[in-house]
Amino acid sequence: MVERRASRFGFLVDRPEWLGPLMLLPAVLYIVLIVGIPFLLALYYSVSDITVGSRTLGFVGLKNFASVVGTTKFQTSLKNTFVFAVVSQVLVMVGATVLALALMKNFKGKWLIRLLVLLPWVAPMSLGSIGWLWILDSIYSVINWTLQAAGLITADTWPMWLGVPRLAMASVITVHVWRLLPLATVILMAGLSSIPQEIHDAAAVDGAGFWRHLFQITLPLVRPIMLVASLFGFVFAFTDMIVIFVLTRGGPYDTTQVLASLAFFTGIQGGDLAEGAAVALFLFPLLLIAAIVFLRVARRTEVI
Amino acid sequence: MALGAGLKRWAFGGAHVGIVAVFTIFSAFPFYWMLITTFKQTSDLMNRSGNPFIYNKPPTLEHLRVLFFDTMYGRWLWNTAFVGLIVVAITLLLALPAGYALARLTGRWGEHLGIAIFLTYLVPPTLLFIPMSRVISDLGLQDSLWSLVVVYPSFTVPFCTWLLMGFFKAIPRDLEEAAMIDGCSRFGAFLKVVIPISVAGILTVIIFTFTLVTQEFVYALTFISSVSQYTVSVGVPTFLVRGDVYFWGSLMAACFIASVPVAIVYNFFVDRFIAGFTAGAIK
Amino acid sequence: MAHETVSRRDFIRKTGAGAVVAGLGANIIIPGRAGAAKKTLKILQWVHFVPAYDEWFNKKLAKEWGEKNDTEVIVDNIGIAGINPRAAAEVSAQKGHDLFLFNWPPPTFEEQTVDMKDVYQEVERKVGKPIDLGIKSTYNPKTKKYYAFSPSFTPDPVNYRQDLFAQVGLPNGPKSWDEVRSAGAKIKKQFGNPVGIGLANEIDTAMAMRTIMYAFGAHEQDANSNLMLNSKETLEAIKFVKALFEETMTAEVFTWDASSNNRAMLAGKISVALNAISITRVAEKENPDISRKIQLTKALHGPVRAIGLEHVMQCYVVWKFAENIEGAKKFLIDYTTNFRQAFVAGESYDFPCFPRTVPDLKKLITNDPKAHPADKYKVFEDVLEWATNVGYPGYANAAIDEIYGTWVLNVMFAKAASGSATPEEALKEADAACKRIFAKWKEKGLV
Repeated sequence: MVERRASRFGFLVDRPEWLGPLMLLPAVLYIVLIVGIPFLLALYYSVSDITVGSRTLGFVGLKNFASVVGTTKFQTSLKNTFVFAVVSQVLVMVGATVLALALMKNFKGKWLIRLLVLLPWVAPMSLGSIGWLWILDSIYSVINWTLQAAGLITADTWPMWLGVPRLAMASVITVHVWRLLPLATVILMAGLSSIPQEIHDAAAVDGAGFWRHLFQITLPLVRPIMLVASLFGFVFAFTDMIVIFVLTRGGPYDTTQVLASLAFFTGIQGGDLAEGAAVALFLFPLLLIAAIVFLRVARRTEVI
Repeated sequence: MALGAGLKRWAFGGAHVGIVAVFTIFSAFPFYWMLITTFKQTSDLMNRSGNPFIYNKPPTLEHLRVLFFDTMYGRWLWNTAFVGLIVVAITLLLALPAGYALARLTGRWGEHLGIAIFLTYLVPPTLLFIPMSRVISDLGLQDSLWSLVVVYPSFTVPFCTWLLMGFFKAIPRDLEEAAMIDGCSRFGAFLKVVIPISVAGILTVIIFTFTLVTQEFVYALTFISSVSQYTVSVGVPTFLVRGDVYFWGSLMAACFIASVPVAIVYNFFVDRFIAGFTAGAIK
Repeated sequence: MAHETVSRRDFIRKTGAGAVVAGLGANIIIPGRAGAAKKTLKILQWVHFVPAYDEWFNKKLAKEWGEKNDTEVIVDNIGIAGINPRAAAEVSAQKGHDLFLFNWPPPTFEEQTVDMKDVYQEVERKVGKPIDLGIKSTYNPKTKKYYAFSPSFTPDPVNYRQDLFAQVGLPNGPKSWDEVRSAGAKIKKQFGNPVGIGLANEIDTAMAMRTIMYAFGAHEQDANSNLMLNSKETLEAIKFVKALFEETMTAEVFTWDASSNNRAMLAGKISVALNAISITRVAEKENPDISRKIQLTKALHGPVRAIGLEHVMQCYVVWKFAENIEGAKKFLIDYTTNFRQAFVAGESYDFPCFPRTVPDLKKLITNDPKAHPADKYKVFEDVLEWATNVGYPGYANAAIDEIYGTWVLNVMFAKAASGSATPEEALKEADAACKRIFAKWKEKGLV
C-alpha cells in the first residue's frame, strides 16, 4: 500500500518543495479539523460569561481573570502548581537519566527489572492512583505498618501522608513521578540507543572519562528528544489533575490544590465555566512561550 | 593502580546495584501490593491487627469473580485494546511523515505549523471536553468507541510528531543521500532507509500512544455512557467504587491485570531497541 | 451488576461499529428490528450504593414501564464523579439523555432544563404534598422555576459506637454537639478511639460542617438568598469545630475522602461519624460484630437547633433538548407515585420527598430484617422533619452550589482546626470568597 502511494504521487514526492508540505499536512489537517474549533472555543470561554448551563457566549474581556486572581484560593493554587510541576519534573528528568543509564548496562535479571520499572507507565492512571490511595490510607497504610513494625514510629505517630500539607504535597509529587518516570526513561533509552556507535568509539579514543563522556557527548546528542519529552512532561504536570483528584482533591485545606483541579471544581462542579476556563488557561501564555522556545531549540539543534 | 581500578569498578558496581534496586522497588511495590490485595478476603484486608504482607485468612478468588462476572471487565479490556491499536495506527500514519518533514524538509512555516498543533496540549482536557462533545455529537459519534478513536490522535499526534523529529535528527544525513544517489526518491529513502533504522523512535511512539489511550479518563467519561462501551480506566472505577465504598480487591486486580501484559509487550520493544546498542556510552 | 444495561441498542451499535467506518456506526439499521417506530426513553443515573437497587430499576422497573408505555427504556449508570462533567457535555452537545439524575441540586443548569411545575402538580394531586426539603432543592424563587424534580433524598444520620458511649455514661448515644465533644474526649482518652468527622475536601465533610453550622444558627445565606456567612454564630461554629478537633480527633480527618469514615468506623477505630446508612449496611453484610456496636441517632442539638442534612439529594432534570420530554415526565410521575418499591429496593437508603408514597415507612424501618437490632433505623421515623437542604434556610441556588463545589467551607473549618489560620482569619477568607461568588451569580441573574 505504501509502495502504491509512493508511485502514484511520484511526480510530487520527487520535488522537495512539495514533499515537505505533503508529509506534514495530513497531521496538521487532522488536528485542525478535529480540535481547531474546540481549541479556539475553549480559549474564548475564558473571556466570556458562559456557565455549564448556558450556551450563550457574551464577551466580558479579562473580567474572569481580574475577578479570580485576587482570591486566596487562586493564589495558593498558583503557587502549588509551580511547586508540583517543577519539583516533579526535575525529579523525573534526573531520575530518568540515572535510571536509563543504569538500565542500558548489561546485568543479570535486567529483563525482569526493566519489566518492573515499566509497570507504572502502563497502569490506567485512575486505577494506579487508587492503588496509591490504598497504600497511603490513614488506617491501612502498609508503609506505616512497616515503619511501625520496624520500630521507627509508634501507633500514635503514624504519618498522615495525605493529611499534613507538606507530606500531602510530597505524596502527590511522588505518585506523579512514579507514573511518568518509566516513560521518560524509555524515551531516553531509545534516544541513547539511536546514537551511532562510531561517536562513542571516537570519544573512547580521545580518552574521555565517564562524566565527560556523559555530559559532553551522550547527553547533548539526545537533546532534541529530551527537550520534547520534558516539554511534554511540564505541560502534563501543569494541566493533568487525575493524581490530585483521586488522592486529595486539593486537600488538606487547599495545600495541594493546583490550577487544573481548581479549574475543574470551579468550572464543572461549581458551574462557572468561564471562570474555570480562566483558571485553567491562566498559565497558557507562559506555557505557550515555553513550548515555542523548547520546540524551536529542539528543531534547530544540529545533532549530526 | 590495578587495585585502584578494581576498587573503582567495585564501587561502580555497588552504586549500580543500589540505584537499580531503589528504582525497582519504587516502581514495582504498588503492583506487588495490588497482587497481594487481589487475593485477600475483605475481612482480612480490613483487619488492622494482622501482618498485612501475609494472608491471615485463606486467599480468595472472590474479587476476581466480581471483576469478571459482575462487571464487564473483559469487554472493557477489549474496548481499550481496540481503541488503543487503531489510535496507534493513526498516530504512526500521521506522525511519521510529519516528524520527518519537520526534521528535514520544511522551513520556517513548517515549524510554525508544527508548533501550532502542539499548542492543543496547552488546554487541559478537563476544559476541552466541553466544546469537543459538540464536535462528537455533530459527527454522530456520541456513545460510540469511534468517538475516542477520532479524538485520541488529537493529543498523541502532536507530541509524537515532535518526538519522531528528534529521532530523525539523530540519523546521519549521508544515509538518505546515499540511497538517493542509488536512485531512490526522497520519499523512497524515507520509507526504505529512515523508517527501518528509526525502530527505537517508532516503538517509543507506540509505547507512548497506546498507554495514553488506556489512561485517558475525561473524554471516555463524558463521551461514553453505555456500560458496554466503556474503557477500563472509566468502567472499573465507575462500577467498583459504589457510592462511598471501594471494592479494593477487585480494583487492584483490575489495575494489575490491565497493566502486566502490556508491560511485557513493551519490554520486548525496549529489548528490541537496546539490542542494537552496545554499552559503549557508559563503559 | 453491569450486564443489565447491555441493551439491544448496544448490540446494534457494536455490530454497526464493527461493520462500518467512523460516523455510520450509530445510524445503521438492522433489518427486521421490530417496533422501530417505538419511542425510546434514555435515563442516566448514578451507580447506586445498593447494587440491588440498580438491579431492580434497570431490569424490572424500566422494563415493565417500557412495556406498558410502548417505549424502549435505556438506563445508563455512571459514577458520581462523572455526573457534572457528563451533564456539561450533554448541554454542550445539546444531545443526550431524556431523564438525567443529579445527586445534588443542579441550579446552574436551570437554563437548560424543562420546568417541572406540572410534574410537581400531578404528583401532588396523586399523593399529596412534598416536603420542604424537596422544593428547596429544586425551585428557584428568583425565576419562579422548578428546574428539577426531587422524588427522594438520603438522610445523613449520626453513626456512633454504642459500646463506647455506654461506658462514658451515654448508652443512647450523644444528643447534642456538646456531648459529642465531651464524651468524645473521654472516649479518646480512655479507649483511644477518636471522633471521626472529616475535615477534607469531600462531600461528607461538606455535609457535616453545614450540619454543625446550622445547629449553631450559622448560615451561608438567609431565606431570601442574602449572604450572611460572616456572623458571630459562624465564628462560634468554627471555634467549636476547632475545639472538637483538638480534644477528640486526630490529623487523619484531613486525609479523608468520602469512603474513609466508612472504613474507619468499620475498622472500629472511630467513635462517631456522619454518613448515610452505607456504613451500617456494609457492617451488616461483612462484620455483624461491629454492626451490633454501631447505632444511629438523630440530628444533634446545637445552641440554636437540632438539624440534619440530606446526604444525597436525588434531583431529576429533563433537558430542554431531550427527545422524549413527555415520556420522561410520565416516567418520573409513575416512579414517584410508586416510590414504595424504590424505598424497599434501595434498602431504606433513599427516603421519599412525598411522605404519603410510603405510608408504612415507620413500620418498614422499625422492622428491618438485616439490621442489628431490627429497629436500628427507627431514628428515621421523623427524618422528614429534621433533614434539610444545603443553603438552609434559603434555597439551594447557584451560588450555594459553587461554594459547595469548590469546598470553601470545608477549607474554612479545616484551616481553623489545623491552626493554619485563626478562626477569624478563616472566616474572613471564606466570607470574601462567598461574597465574590454570590455577586457573580446575582449578576448572571440566577440568584
